[in-house]
Formats: sequence, C-alpha cells, structure tokens
Amino acid sequence: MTKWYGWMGIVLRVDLSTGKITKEPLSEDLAYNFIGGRGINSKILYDETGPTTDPLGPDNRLIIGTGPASGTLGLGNGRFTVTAKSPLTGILGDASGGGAFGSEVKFAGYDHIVNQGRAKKPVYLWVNDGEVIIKDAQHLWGKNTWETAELIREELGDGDIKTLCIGQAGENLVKYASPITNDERAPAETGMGAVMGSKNLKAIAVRGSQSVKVAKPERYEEIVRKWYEDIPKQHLTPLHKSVGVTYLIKLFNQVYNLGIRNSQELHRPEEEISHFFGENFVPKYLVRHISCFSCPHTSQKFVQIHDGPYAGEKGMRPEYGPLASMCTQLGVFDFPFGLKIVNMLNQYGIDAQELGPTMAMVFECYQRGILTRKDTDGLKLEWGDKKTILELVRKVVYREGFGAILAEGCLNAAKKIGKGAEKYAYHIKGKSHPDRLTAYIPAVLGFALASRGWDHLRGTVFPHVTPSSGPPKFWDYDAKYAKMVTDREHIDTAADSLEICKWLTEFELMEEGLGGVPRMAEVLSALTGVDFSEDRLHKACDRIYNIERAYLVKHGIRRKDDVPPRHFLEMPIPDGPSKGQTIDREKFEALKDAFYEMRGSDKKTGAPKRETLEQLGLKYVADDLEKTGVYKEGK
Amino acid sequence: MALSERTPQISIDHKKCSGCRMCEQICVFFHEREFNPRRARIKILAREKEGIYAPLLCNQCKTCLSVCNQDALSWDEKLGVVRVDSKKCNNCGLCIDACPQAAIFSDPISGVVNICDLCNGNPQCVKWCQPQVLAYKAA
Repeated sequence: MTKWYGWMGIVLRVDLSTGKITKEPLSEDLAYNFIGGRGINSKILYDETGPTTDPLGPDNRLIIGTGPASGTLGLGNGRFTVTAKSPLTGILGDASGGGAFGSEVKFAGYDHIVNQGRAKKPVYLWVNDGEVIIKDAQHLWGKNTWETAELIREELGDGDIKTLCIGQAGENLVKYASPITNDERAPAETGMGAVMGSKNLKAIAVRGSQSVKVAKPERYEEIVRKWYEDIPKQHLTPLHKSVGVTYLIKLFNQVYNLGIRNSQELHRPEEEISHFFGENFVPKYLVRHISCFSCPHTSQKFVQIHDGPYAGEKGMRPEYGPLASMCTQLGVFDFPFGLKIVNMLNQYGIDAQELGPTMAMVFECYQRGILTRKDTDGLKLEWGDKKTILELVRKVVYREGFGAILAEGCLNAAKKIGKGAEKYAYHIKGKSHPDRLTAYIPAVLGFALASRGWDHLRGTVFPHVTPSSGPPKFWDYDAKYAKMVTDREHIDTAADSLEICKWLTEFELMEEGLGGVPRMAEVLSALTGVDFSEDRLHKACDRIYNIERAYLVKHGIRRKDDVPPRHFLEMPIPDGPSKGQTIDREKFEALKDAFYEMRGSDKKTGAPKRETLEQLGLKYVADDLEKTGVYKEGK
Repeated sequence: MALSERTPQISIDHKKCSGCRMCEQICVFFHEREFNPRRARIKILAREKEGIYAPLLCNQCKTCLSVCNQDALSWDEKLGVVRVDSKKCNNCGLCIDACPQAAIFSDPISGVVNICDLCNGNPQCVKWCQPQVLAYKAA
C-alpha cells in the first residue's frame, strides 16, 4: 500500500441509484499522472462517460475533486473542482470553487467523491470522516442554498459542517444552475447544479478530523514563506487588498473593455459607473475584509447596505464577473442592486455569467423588435429596468413561461426564439461570458481554445492593465501568442489540479514570473514527497489538456468550433482607441495553426495526434479517437 | 496577579479577523507537522451570515488548572503557559467546559486536550496572521 503524503489516498464512490457506497484506493497512476482536482476529475469523466451519456441522466458522474494542496497552508487551500458532462454545452463541464469545502473533504479523508446514478427521492450525502450516509432531503427540496446549509447544520448538530448544495435552479434543472458553498462561493460554470438536481442530490455535507500529511514540512513552509515575500512585488496587490476584484470594472471601463447593454457599448463616463468603484462602496458599506480558507489575501469584502431601496441587504460584495453580467450588460449602474441580485442568484444557485449574457441577449432582441411583449409574458425588457430584471430571474429559476426558454442557456434560448436572435447570442461552444476584450488577441485565442467553452480561467493571457498603462495594443497576430497561451494553460491546469487559487498563481504573480509551473512543482514535491520536476509537471498538464481535448473531439468538437464569439468577428469595436476594429479571421486562423502545432494536434481537425497521445501514455485515448474516424478526416 | 503583571501574551484585534484560519493551520503544522484544524490550539469562531469572525485563544487565565482532577495540567512559570501532561489527561472535558475563552480543544487524534503553549515563546499564529489580528506583546 502506498503511504500517501499530500493526497489522502481514497476515492469515495456513491451510487445514488442503489445506495452502494465504496471507498476505492487512489491509484499511483491517477495521482502521479493527473495530480488531483480538475486533472483526476477529467480523467474519471473521460473514462466513465461519453457521447451516449445524457448529462441529466443517471449515467452522468458528478465528481468532486480536491488536490494535493487542498487543506494545507497558505495558498488558498479550500479550493475544489466539480466535474460532470455539462447539460449546458454537452461537452466537458467543470467548475472550481473557493471557500472551505475542498479542505473539509480532505479532512474527512478523501481526494475525490464520485457520485453516480439517481436517487429515487431527494437526498443529501453526509460524509463524516469514514461514516458516509445518504440521508432523506425531501424536507429540504424547494429551499434555497442558504436555508439548506443552515438546516443541515442544525439537523446534524454541528455548526462547522461544510456544505455544497443546490437551490431552486438546480432542482428545476436550469441548464446553468450552480452549486453553492459558504453561502456565496460558486463553482458556477457549465451547470454542475443541474447535474446535482438531476440526481436528486440536494447537498453534500462534510465534516472531518483526519490529517493531511506532508512529506517535507520544513521545505513546504520555506516555499510558502518565499512566496509571500513575492506577493507585495505584484502590481495588483494593493488594489486587491483594499478593494478586491471589483476594481476590474473601473479598469476595463478605462480601457474600453467593459461590456454594457450586451456589449453594444464598452465605456461610460466614470461618474455614471462610479457606484461600482471600490473607493466608493468600500468606505460606505464595508463590514469586514474576508478571506477564503488559508489564504493570505483579504480580497473579499463583506458589505451591508444601509440606505436606499436595498437597505439591510448584506453579504460578500459581488466580483467583477457577476456585476458585469447582471448589471452593466443589462444597463444597470447601481452597486446596492448588484449586491441584491447576486445574493439572490447565490440563494437560487445559478451562474451569473451565463444568466446575464442570456438576459442581455433577449433584452437586445426586445430593443430590436425581434421580441415583443407578446413573447415575454407581458414584460417590457427595457435596459436598466431593475424590477423587470428581478422578475425575469425568478421566472428563469422556476422555468415559468418565457423564463423556461432562458433556462436553456444563451445559445439554446436564441435558437428557440429564432428570427435572427442567434446573432446576439455571444458564446463559444455553447457557453457565454460577459467579457468583450476584443483588443487582446492572445486573450481571444485562449477563449477560443479553452476546454469548457468560453472561459477566462484556462489559458487566457491578460495583459498588464493598470490605470496608467492605457489600453494595451495587441492587434498583431504574432505566432508567439500560441506559446503564451500554451504556457498559461499549463499554469492554470497545474493550479486547478493541485487546487491552488489562481489569484496566487496565474493572475497575481505571472507578470513577474513568480507564480508559475516551476514553483508549483516545488510545492507538489514538498507536499507529496514525489519528485516532480518542472518538466514532469508540464507533462502532466499536457496530459490533462489532451484528455480534455480528446473528450471534446469524441463529442464532435473540431477546429471549426474553436472560434471567437460572433461579435468579436463581425461587430466593430464601437468606441475608444480600438474603434472600428474586428478580428481578422485569416490571421486568427493562422495563429490557431501555430497553436495546434505547438500542442501536437492535427491542424485540420484540431484533434490530438496519435503520437502526441502515445507519448503521454494515452494510447487507449488515441484508439478511442481512431474509432470516431477523426484521424481519417485529418488526411 | 493582575493581567498587566503577566508574562507576554497574545492580544487580539477581533475586528480585523478575515476568517482565513491560517492560525489554525500553522498551529497544527508547528506542533504536529501535519494539517488538521481539529488539532489546533486556536479556533476561529465564524458567523458567516454577518461577516463576523473571531479567534478563540487562551489568555493564560489559569481557570483550567483549578478544575482538572487528573493532575494533568500544570503552570509553566518561566513561559507563563499551561502545560498538558498527555499521560495523565483522560479527556474528561472539565477544563473545556470551564474555560472562559472556550479555547481548550479535544484532539481527535491524540485523545487528550490541547492548550496554547505560545509555541515556546514564538507563537506561529502571530507570525502567520496576515490581517495582523494577533500580536505578541506584554499585556
């Protein structure tokens, strides 16, 4: 038996159809080749599901993954990944969450929890160290995520229990429902909450008292200490500490990249959007600076509104993404409303970054006369109408009338609406996002190639954006961007698989070259005692990328699907220094050639080549792809 | 003995606590070289819905000494901390109930209680507390 450090060495498997619970030993093959978190989750998903798996059927898996760094010290160690075949996109679905759920799963003694089957009635899973019980949740069905978490803690008599639960959106199988932990931490992307709902799995509750062992404690402490010495060198640290991620609203506005009214505008005079600026809302509403589990940053801000129509509303201030999605993209410029609506989405358990763009799409359709009040159950979809926005969110969550169309996601809703609505549905591989960011070609390349659809957390190179730097100009299509994106993908893959926060790796320290793969290889080696050289970790990241890409290929994804959203290509930037620009298709395709070449993928299909897979020990994956006929398409 | 006459102790600026629980993590890492918040000698009390977090930490008031009937607790005069004799402690929980700071914890692995020992004069929680909630100084 392997003596595990970093890893706990056990994969918990729960069959909700039969009630059978098994504890499988973690194999060295999985751990050493796929690391943990997103990496091992993706490998399990690849092996156990496929094109015939119905995302909302019992055969789909709902996999919770922690990494070797989960539950340890100082690097945002509460993180975890939830993986399943996505009901939104029909391809790889996964989402990363913060808070303190991931660490508690480790303390309960598990690296991964694989849920399969479907319970006959609503249930929740109670994982209390070695004791694992499927419990009745009929009394919790219909409750929101905040109520559910509270009721479970009361029922089990322990206020320190950590939960991951769904609200009404997940129960009603809204295709982009999100599970919620810590009241406001959302592994939101790709509809993992709907998969939980389809399995009648209302919640997973965890409490543990096991220890995470460390192979080289002195070395690990030294690495984290050194890491902390580097954090102040990073140019975003002061903003991050004082204001939090919401500062992006101000910065993106300054560089004409803030999506407003379904990205028809990208900039407003500062006085119109100043509600969202940290320097305004922090002094006014701050209750306390907050951190996730074992993280040096206090980037979260607990706020309470004490004036106006939303007086009394309190919670964690929304981040840039939800605010852009649910406010600026819908023509709202009101911070207290932003808190109100994001609290509401967290309670319902739904992804703001799919809901916002979906709503923005129908608002634009209404503006253009594609939709009228006859189609919208009488709602007037006018930009900035807060009452209508709140009402429409409710209708989506309960799949009521017009809301049921929106519950299918941006692209699917546009297809149902027809009449040219698809022109205003901005997505990549069926997944939407509030960003515009057309001015940075490397970022767009990352968006187009990401393995779960449009995504800024999987290989997106953001330039230095500071108030003084002005709009960065990346309008060239230099082949070196292919390498930049690949490098960034590896950093993100390593962070997602060790389960270290991206604010300590990708975003914070990359520009200084401090938070990358070499440093994560040191962390991994010290934690696990397995000698991970930089090259070995790179190879593992390559393996994870390729098995995810192969999963997409098996589901019919080809080079033609690796494209920027339509507005990036067709709609000239309306304002600012890049006014009039669109992406040059031909040059962008040439850049993709460079990317596929770097990745060892076939240029014609975008599929990983047989030799690439074999070099990574994935011969069986190459054999699978052979059967799909994709290698014949390449000839 | 008045509080001010005691040996140096850890002071707490409660309002700054961000709830990161790094203190719990480093506490166990220092003492046991592993991670397990249930073994910590400090605990963060959380009221997440109000955005409130507060460290529960021994202030060396010695109340526990008077309730232990196993003779398992003693006062370390030099450092000004309570010492636990793990051979004598039977985990009865009297000291846990009696502690005015709610800062004594039963260790699920060792089966005895843990009480802050100020890391022998170099408290690691203070060193690692990023929001500077904790400070080690003469009271």
